[in-house]
Amino acid sequence: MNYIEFKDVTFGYGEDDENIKKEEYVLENLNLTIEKGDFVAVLGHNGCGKSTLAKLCNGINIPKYGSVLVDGIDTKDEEKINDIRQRVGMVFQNPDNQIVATIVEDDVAFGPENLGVEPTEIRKRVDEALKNVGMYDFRLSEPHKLSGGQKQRVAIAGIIAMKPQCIVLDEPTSMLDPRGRREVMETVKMLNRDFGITVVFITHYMDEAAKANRVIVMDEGRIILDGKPKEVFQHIDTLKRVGLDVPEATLLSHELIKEGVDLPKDILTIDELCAEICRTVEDLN
Amino acid sequence: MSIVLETKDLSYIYSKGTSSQVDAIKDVCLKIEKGELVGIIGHTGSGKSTLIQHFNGLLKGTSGTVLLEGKDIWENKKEIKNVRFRVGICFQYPEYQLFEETVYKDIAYGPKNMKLSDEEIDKRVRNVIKFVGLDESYFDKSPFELSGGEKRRVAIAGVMAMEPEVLILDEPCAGLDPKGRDTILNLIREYQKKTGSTLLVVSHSMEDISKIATKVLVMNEAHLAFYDSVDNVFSHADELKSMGLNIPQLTELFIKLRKKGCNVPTNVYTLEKAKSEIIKLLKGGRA
Amino acid sequence: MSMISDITIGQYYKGDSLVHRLDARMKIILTVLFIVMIFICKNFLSLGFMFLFVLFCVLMSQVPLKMFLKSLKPIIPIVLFTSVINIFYISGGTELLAMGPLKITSKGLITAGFMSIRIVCLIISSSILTYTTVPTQLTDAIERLLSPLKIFHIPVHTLAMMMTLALRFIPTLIEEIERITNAQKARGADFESGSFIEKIKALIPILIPLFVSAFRRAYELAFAMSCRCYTGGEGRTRMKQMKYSFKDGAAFVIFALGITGVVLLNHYFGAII
Repeated sequence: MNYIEFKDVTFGYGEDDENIKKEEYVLENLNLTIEKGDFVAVLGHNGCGKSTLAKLCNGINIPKYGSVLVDGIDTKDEEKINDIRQRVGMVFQNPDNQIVATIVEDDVAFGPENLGVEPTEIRKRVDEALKNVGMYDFRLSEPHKLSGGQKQRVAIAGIIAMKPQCIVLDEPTSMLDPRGRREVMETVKMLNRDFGITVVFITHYMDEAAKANRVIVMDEGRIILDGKPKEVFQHIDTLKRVGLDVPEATLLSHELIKEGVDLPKDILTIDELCAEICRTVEDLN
Repeated sequence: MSIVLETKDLSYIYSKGTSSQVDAIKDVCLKIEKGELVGIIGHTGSGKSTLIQHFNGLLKGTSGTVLLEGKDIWENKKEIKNVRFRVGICFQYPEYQLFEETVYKDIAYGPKNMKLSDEEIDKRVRNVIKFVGLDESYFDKSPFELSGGEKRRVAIAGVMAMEPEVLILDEPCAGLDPKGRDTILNLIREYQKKTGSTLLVVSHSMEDISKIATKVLVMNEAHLAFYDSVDNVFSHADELKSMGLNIPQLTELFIKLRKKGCNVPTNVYTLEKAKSEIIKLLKGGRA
Repeated sequence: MSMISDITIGQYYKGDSLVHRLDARMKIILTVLFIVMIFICKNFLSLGFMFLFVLFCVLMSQVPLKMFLKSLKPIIPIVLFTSVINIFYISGGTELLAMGPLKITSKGLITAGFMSIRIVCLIISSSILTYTTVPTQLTDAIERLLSPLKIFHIPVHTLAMMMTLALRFIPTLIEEIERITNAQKARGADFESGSFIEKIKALIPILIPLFVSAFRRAYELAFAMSCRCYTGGEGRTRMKQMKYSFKDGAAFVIFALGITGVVLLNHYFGAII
């Protein structure tokens, strides 16, 4: 089932909203559907339009031409903007700039409070959300004393307390250390797996994208690759051309294939490659 | 090779004397040779940021000494500003330190503080803009209208323009996309080749470190865990993992192959070497 | 790792005393009553009674005495200054000492003593409030206490939100200042030497990046808040409800009795000031 639908979307930032010139288009005639419950990674270098895409998903950006439908609601419908934002939560890059309150649990409560949820229900949601992201023990902490990964998980808790059906994360890991990145990725994977929350994960780390169900690669406002990670990462040349990485394991296996070694083309991880090489060695013996 | 930077039993304690006192670094003894490109790794809170701030006297050790070319940097307190010109640090997200109206003026800020002549400043600014892969057409632009990657490079140029003997870069690639990252890594390599100065680069990415470094320094829980060649450090894969650090992906592959009984070396970080070693392995199997 | 992680916003002292558990709104009301009480004392008996009352509240808060001494330290110069002014400028009563044009009179001494004790009590009473109340509760309570002003179109919610955000971002900005300062020092910036003008000029490399970053943060924060359906105070609920309980009523009665005590002592023993 389609959850978010982009229909011929054109968008550009311009001084004059009415007459945006063609050169200023960031996205042009973009068509995209995101299925309910899917885990979609959007890859692309800085300035390729992936953040713009994210902001179109919950009505922060409104298409210039075409339309974006969220759960059947057009994001142009100003009356329903909060219905859309409750359904599609958003997590940003800088964890510091999205935490509003001085106490973790108060921050998580911020969204539900804005929605006018009953106080006892908010309490329940806040506790649940913090438990889900593994931050319950920190509920009374001050955000500035947390690590980057912890802050980002609090931000995610703040979104899931609004009971969204979809979360859009705009480079949530780019300011984190490896541990923080792992924490965030695991949390998001769990929300998708256990709660069926649709995830749109924007990143430029290919190892994170490799963990998604579907990878979309963007360049200059267009979608240039779209498919399962195993399919997308086979296009090594295309990915390199647009300034992206390819998993080392894929890169190495393709080099080996060129040298005549018999390996499958869709290797993504070191473990897969290791197993394949061992198999080849055994075959030779 | 001569030693450029040396620490003797360097320790630093945060909030000394209070109940919350913490060892940020403890008994660090280190000798860094001239012309090395040292990769510094360690997870957040391991003490690596504290350590680098001792090298230019932004922090003063609670005990122990830091020697620059054999001289204690704190020998004469008034000279500490000169130490900062000789050991340049470019901090994480350096683009947030830009403040001048033009790129030219911002790069010239450091050299100006050194009280150099206008000609010398001009020479350095023109020289350094090339190092970071930009050109003189940027000089009159406002640093605030550049792209993220360009801002980063201008900020790095601002430190390079002081022509420090030791240049320290704290996570120069943080937050950049792969293209931006490769640009920075290349300019670091080029800079080192052309100037022959000593470079210290802090990074979370083992791939980046293995690509550019000649030596690796590992900090763990305030202690210096390793300071050795890239090969030797990454041969301690299990210990690095127990410190919560990764090892380069390709190295990981070879360690795994080795564990499965394949006869391969484990000091592999580059694609080229990985390729030739595996082909060797497969041919060996045939023989 | 940064020193900043030690900073606690406001001066909250963790505890679970009866005072800590009072409703924040009531604590603000009581603090106002405290100030009234402090300033209506007219003789030594009522002043002493008031002082004992302050001590009683300090003990009830279970905040160590040395915390209060710490908060009094910065105001010692103010106390001394007002005392000196009072001693020399207020005349009346018996003359105790005369040095040329300067005269010390009993009235001057008494006034100085009264003023000093009043300032000290004032600081202690407001410290009780800040030591026992989390900053967020404080802004919350102010918002709720002032909410009747909405009738006059005073944006009470917006003001409270601004206070909360300020509290939230103070540590972040302090951290930022530390970071920028270090970065500029590494480029040879000198903040210590030079004339006054030069010192002010030396701050530009810190202030400009700080403002740029503060604006960027504000911009991103506004985005994040609207993504979380924030549209202002209208239709918002609160997770933490504030409810007056028996102990709040009791505290109010105690304070009312305290004020009555001061008034009675003033009335029956005559005013000396």
